[in-house]
Parts: sequence; C-alpha cells; structure tokens
Amino acid sequence: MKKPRKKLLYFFYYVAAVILAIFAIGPLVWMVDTSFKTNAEVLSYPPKWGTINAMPSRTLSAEIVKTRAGQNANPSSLSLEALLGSLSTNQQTSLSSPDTLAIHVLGASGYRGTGTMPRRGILSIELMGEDGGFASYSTNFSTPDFNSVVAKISSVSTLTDDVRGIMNSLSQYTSDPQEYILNFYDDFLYGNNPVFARINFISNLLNVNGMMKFQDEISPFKKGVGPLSAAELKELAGILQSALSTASPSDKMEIEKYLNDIDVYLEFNEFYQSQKNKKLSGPIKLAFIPNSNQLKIIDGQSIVESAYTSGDQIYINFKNVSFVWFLNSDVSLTAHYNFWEVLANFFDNYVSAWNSAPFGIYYFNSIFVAVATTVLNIIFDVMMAFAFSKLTFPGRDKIFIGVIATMMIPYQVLLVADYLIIHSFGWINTYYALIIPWSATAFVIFLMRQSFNSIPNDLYDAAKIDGASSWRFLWTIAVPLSMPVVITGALLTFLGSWNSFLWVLIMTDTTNMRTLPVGLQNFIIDSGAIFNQLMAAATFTMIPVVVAFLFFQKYFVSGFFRSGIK
Amino acid sequence: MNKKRNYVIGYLYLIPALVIFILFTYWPAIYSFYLSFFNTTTSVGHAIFVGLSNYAYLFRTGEIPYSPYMAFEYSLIRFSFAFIISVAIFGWIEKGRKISKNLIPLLIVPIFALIFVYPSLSVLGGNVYIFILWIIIGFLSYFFTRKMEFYKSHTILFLLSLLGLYIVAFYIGKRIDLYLLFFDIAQNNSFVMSIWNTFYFVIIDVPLTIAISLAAGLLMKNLPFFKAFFRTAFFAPYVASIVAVSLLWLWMFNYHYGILNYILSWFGIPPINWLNSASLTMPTVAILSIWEYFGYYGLIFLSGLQNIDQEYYEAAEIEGANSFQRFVYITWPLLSPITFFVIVVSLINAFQVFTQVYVLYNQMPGPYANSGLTMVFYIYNTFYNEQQMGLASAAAYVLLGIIMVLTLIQFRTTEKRVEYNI
Repeated sequence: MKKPRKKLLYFFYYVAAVILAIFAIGPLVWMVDTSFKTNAEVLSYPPKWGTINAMPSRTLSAEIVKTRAGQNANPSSLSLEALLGSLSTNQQTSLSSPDTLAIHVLGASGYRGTGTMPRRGILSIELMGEDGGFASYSTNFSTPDFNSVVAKISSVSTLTDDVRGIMNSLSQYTSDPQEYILNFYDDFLYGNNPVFARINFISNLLNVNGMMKFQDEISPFKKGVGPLSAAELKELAGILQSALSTASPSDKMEIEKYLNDIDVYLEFNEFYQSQKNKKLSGPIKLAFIPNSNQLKIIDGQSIVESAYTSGDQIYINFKNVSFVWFLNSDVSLTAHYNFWEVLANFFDNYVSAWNSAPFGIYYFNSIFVAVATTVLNIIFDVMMAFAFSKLTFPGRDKIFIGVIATMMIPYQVLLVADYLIIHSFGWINTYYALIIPWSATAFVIFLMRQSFNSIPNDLYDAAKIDGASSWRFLWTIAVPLSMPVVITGALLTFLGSWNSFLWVLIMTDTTNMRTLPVGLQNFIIDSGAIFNQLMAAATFTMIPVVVAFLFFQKYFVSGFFRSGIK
Repeated sequence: MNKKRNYVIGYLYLIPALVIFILFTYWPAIYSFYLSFFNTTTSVGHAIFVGLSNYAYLFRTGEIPYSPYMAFEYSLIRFSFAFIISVAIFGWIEKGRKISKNLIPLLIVPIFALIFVYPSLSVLGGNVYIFILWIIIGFLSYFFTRKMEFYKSHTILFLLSLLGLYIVAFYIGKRIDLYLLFFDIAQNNSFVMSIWNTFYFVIIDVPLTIAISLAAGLLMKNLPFFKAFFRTAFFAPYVASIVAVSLLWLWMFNYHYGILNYILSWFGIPPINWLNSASLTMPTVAILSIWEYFGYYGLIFLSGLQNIDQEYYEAAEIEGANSFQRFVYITWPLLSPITFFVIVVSLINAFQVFTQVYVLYNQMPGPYANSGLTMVFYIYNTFYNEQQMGLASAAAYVLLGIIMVLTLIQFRTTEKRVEYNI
C-alpha cells in the first residue's frame, strides 16, 4: 500500500526537478547553441537546434547572373579602387569581361542571406543543362550560320510592337554575336519585363480577339516558375496554329503576330542550342585562398582560367569560351569542408567576436582583478574572522555586529561617496579602484567566523602552550581545518569580482581598465544585434567561472552547509 | 601587561579589513548622508547647504488636478485607510506577543499615512502640511498602540472595515484609486516612478523567487538519485555574470526570433512583445532575475533542510503523517530562520535591480515612459549622467531607508518564530 504511493511521489519529484532543471539550464544551452549558428540561422523562424556550421558540406542556393544589368558593380562589395574606376567610366560599367560567368550565392538552402558561405573550403559548382545533364557550350562558333539565322529572323515583318522594337535594337549587335545572344535572351527571357514573362505573355495573348475560346488551353501556362520554356512555347505555337485556322480574317493578323514572335525566338534558340558542341564532364571545383579574393582552381573542366569572389558573387573567367552558353543553365553549389575547416566554421563567431573588441585586455583585467581581490579577501577576512572567533579584546562583539550590519547596506547606496573618495585618492581608472574597496567582505567574514567557532578552543590553547603564535595557529591549523569554507569564500568573492558591473562602469572609463562585463556591454552597443556573435562573447566570458565552479563545486557546497547559516 | 598585549594583537588582526570597511563603507555612508543636504551642481568643493530640499525635490508632486477641498476630503479618507491598514498589520505582527513595542506602529502608521496622503499634499500647501500631519500621526499612533490589546485579537475585523471603507471611498471620490493617484505623480516625478517600478519588481520577484527556490531546495533534499546533477543545474545561472545573462535573455525575449515566443506558440499563445511594452518591463526583468537567483537561494534552503534533525521526520512517520503534513508541521517551522534569511537577502538584492534593465533596454530605463526606471537606475543616472551628487545621495538614502524599514519589519514579524535553535 505504501510503496507504490512513494514511487508515485518520487515520480512527481523527478518531473518537477527536470522541469526546473530545464528552466535553469535551457537558456544556457540555447545560448551556446546560438553561438555556433550562422547569421541566417539565427534570423530564421521557427528556431532550430543545431547548425550547418557543424556539417562537412552544405548546399548553397545560387543563380547565374543572366543580364548585363545584374553584373553591374555593387558598390558595397567593391574596393575603393574598383569603385573609383567604375565611377569614372559610367554607371553601366560591367565588372566582368564577356568571358566571365557571375554566380550570385543566395545562401544556404533554407536560409537566405549572406554569411552562410564561409570563405574557406572547396566550392563544387555544377552547371546543369536543360536536359538534366551537365551544361554544354560551344568551342567552334559558326559566324556564317549566325549571320544567316539573324538575317532570317530579321526578315520577319509581322511582329508585335514589342518584339519589332527588340529586333530593331538587336540589329546593332549583328557584328558581335556574343552581345547579340546576350541581349536576345535578355530581352526575351531574363531582362526587365521580358517578352516571354509567363503571366504577361499569356494575359496579352488572351486579350487578342478570338483567343478567349482557347482560354482553357492557354491559361494553364500561367502556372510555373520563370519565363516560358522552349518546350512550352512550342506547345503554345501549336495552339496558336489551330486558332489561326478558325479565326476570323480580322483577328488572323493579330494572332499571326504572336505566332511569329514565338517562331523568331524558337528559330534563334534552336541555332543557339545547335552551336553547343561540348559538354562539361563534371562540376567545376574551386577552393578559397585565405585572405584573398582569388579562388584556386581544383578542377576547371579545362575551360576555367581563373576565378574570384566579391561579396556574395562568384566570378569565373573562361578560356576561349563565352559565358553566354551557360545563360540557360541551372547552377547548384555545394561547399565542402575538411575537418579543420569544419572546426573553423564552427568557432567562426567566437573568432569574429573576440577580434571585434579588445576582449584580450578585458580578459586579463578580469582575471587579474578577480584573483587579486580573492587573495586579499582570503587574507583579510580570515584574519578578521579569526580575531572575532578566537581572540579576546574589548568591543569585539560590537565591532562584529558593526561589520555584519554592512551586509544590509547595498553598495549602490554608497556609490556616490565611494566615487568621490576614490577620486580624491586619484584611483579612478586604476586597478586599485577595482580591487582595494572589495578586498574585505562581510558575508565571507561571517561564514569564516562560524567555521572557526566550530574549532575547539582547547586546540588553540594547546597550540599556544606548545609555543605557536596565534598567527601560526591560524594559517597552519585553523585555515586548513576550515578549507571548504575558505574555498566557498574565495569562490564567492571571485564570482562577485568577476561579475561586478556597475562599480567598474563608474570607476573606469578607458578600455584598458575595463573588465569583461563592461566590455561585453560595450560590445553589445557597438555590434548591434548579431546574436550569434553576442552569444559567443557571452559564452566565453562565462567559461572561467563555470570551470571554477565545476572544479570546486564539492568544496563549495559543503562549505555552504558547514557554515550553517542559521 | 600580557593581557594588553593580547588586546593589541586582536586589534592588529582587525586592522586591514576594518580600514577597508571604514574607508569604503562607514565613511561613505556618513559622507553620503552629509552630501544629501547639499546642492553640488556646480562642484562638490563648493557645495551649497540646502537642508531638506533634495528630499523635497525627490518627492515633489507637481500639478495635481484637485481643488483644496477635494484634496482635503481625499486626504481624510486616505488617512483613515493608512491608519486601519497599519493597525491591522500591527495587530497581525503583535498577535500573541505579550509586550507591545511602540517602535513598529510609530514607523508603520506614518509611512502608510504618508503613502496615502502624499498625493494631495501639494494642493494643501506642501511642507507645512507634512509637518502637521506627522505630529497628528505620531500622537494618534501613540494613543492607539497603548490600546493595542483590542486590535490584536480583531485583525479580521479591521480587514473587513478596510474593505468597507474602500467601497465608501470609491463612491465618494471617483479617483480614490491609489494606483491612479501615484500614476499621476509618477508622470511628473521620475523618482516616484522609480520607487513605484522597484516595488512592482520586488512584489513580483521576491515571492516567486522564494517559492521556486524553496521547491528547488526541497527537491534537492528529497531526490534519491542525481542529486549532484540537479544541484549543479539549478546553481549554474547564478555563476554567470548578470550582463552575459541579460544579453542571453535579450535574445530569448526577441519578438521575432526569440525562443520564448516560439515556445508560447506551441500553446497557441500569440507572440508577446516582451521588450517593447511598458507594462511588461518589470515582469520581464523579474523573469530574468528569478532565473538567475533561484538556484543560489535554493542551495541556502538546502543547507537549512540538511540541518533539520532527521528524528523529527521519523517520529512523524510513525505517527502516520503524510508528506504534506510533514512539510507544514516540521519542515516549514524549522526552516523559518533560513526562510527569514533568504527573504531579507533577496529583498535587499531585489531592491538593487539595475544591470538587467541597463542591458535589456540598451542603457535606457525601459523601452519608453521610464517603465524600467528603478531606484538604483535613478541614482546612477542622477549621479553619473547628471552629476548631481547631493540629489543622488538623497535618493540613495531613501532607498536605504526603505530597505531598512522592510528589514526591520521582517525582523519583528519573524522574531518570535525564529527562536528555534537547530
């Protein structure tokens, strides 16, 4: 009868304890977890555990920059020199030569934004053709064929006004096939407001008289991503052909214009595809070089001459191959990291946080101040506690109460006067201001006195008879006997000093004298809300005290119990 | 001769620590008090004696929309309130005590009266009125405490009459509501606002901290396995610095990406704008503080629980007491000295709330409307940013006074219960 109830009770105890433990540790775990994340992961909702920084490879979504406009220099990613260069010519200056392919990295899959591509590791770039295999390109471009195709499509006269305008403007490029191809696809597929923009083109088509009855067949083409593909256009052409046969003579003209638009495009596209005579045999592999914009070519598929990065763009220069052949390609980007690079990715935030503020100085100051405060505390507090416990002199208990009473006074109340006193000593911005006022702690004295009280007076008397001075008795017998309490006191003062904030904020105003909490606060103000780096900084400010606590925990807890706060 | 030598040795042991206490605690305490009567706007060296003006300035009421008659009427009602509340509290404290001590009512009655009457002071002529009021209150409380025998046994009666008076007052003066009155003043007076905010914080923080840390202490005591793990887990937040911890919670409280709002979304609760709402400022800070300190106080509770003699429990078990009864009749009474200690320490600690607000709200006292302006923040701001040493000292002494009074009340109320010698 009794046993099962007890078991149930323990079950509830454990449930409660686990909930409390999650409440206590959960935030700390979340802090450490966040500190390893990429910027994009931090700013994603819902939040997830884990980070791609721990993975040996990651897929990055990317797209080929398909238009000239897109290749314009982004001023923020330029060096000063390049920026001045681009300003001196004109705004339409393109960064890349005709042989340069630009790839815009959007971010790791599932996360948009820069910062998901650490500048290390190997990038594997797969350029995929429309058939699903690797992309093809041309090495023996036939100019006569080009001329005949251009002549053929230029002769078509029944065109919509848009396309007529395009064809007219394209005629200026007939001497430069590459520029022609680029502008052709720019106008028809990829540019601003292209002809075959899916929704626009279909809507225009439906507005033509007589096409409404084909609505059921045409409307489905509105669904899909990106501009209309060649296959879709062929299908549309078929529908238009059948429409043409049933349309009234007055509508025929208009429908024919659209049909010709499609035919012009398909004609040229077929020529473009037919020129591709070689296929990439695998992904292009590039490696980052530390502190450089250049990328090392691991596997260039014999067409890559050089490559570099700028901002979130990757530029690939080809040998004797124009980038226009990859206009229609899809790109998939995978970054691979070796063990050390994964490690570097993982601790990236720690390194950047450490480097973006003088944490080295803060760390030294914190350790120096905390250790000095603790050592002085132990000496002074032990002496005072010993006097209160074992020595006799007039006014002993009154002084003791006077010391204990200071526990009731919050130090913030004394801040103004303390500042003026320390100022009059000339101690502002010195270690003295951070150490000396804190080198005696009433609470620790109280704990130690309790502990010394439990040492029998007989022991002290015996030592005195043996000729030991009180000083010797204190340090060779009393302190070792009260070691847990001394360690508790040391840990409490160390913690207090390490975590002290307002005092340091007021008593110092130079970076050289500030400790970690104030440094961390400055870092928050300076860095803004980059929470992964902030969490990394918060984590490394905690590490010493956490280690100290874990290491001395046993003594600390027993010291707490032995002190017998009653 | 030898005895004298021993005395000297004793004092020598005290010297280092005592010098530090004198230089950085006792002397500043006196110096602060001295400064609080001076205007130091020009320089500390040329401070001008201004008497109580700093204190008067701290509690200035500004314009309050009452006619003198209304103010007088309200004052009377509120004074009655103050009197009944304080007598009720006094009666509760003194219940069962043989000798009545006049100190407590002499403190409590004027304090409550001041709190209640203070909003209408400015209309009635300020300082002179305060002076007269104190004389009246002193006289009345002396008179009534002599007859305390009656009130001691009728606490409930007083609470009921309080309720009745509140209802009457509510109908007579439509704006008798204490909250609104203080809010009016706090709009014009940031120090009153800071007192208001600090009390708000303490009222949320201290009881919850005590409850959770007591639960943590009991769990750590009673769990058969993994004690050390839970002890470490509960204590871990205390080890971290408040700045780092506030930073962590700044991230957890984030409106869009914070994990707290995400967890709330599991229960279908819409996201809460923790850091951008004036009414949530103090609760937000309190959540952080409770998290940070409950493990520390839990450990203190645990040390108290360890010290309770196991024989009591064995005896109770033989008598057939269940675990709830054991808690109520053994643990709670025997733990009262520790509870007292924790209450006092956590109260003093809670009144010092500053760093959390400073970090969470980007060096500002709350998102807007001074909703996070605590007393220490006010002291810091007046001293460090406005360089008004005298005013800051006065504010500091008000803070010290509040803490002292609360501690004293705490001492008195628990005096008779903290007599167990474990």
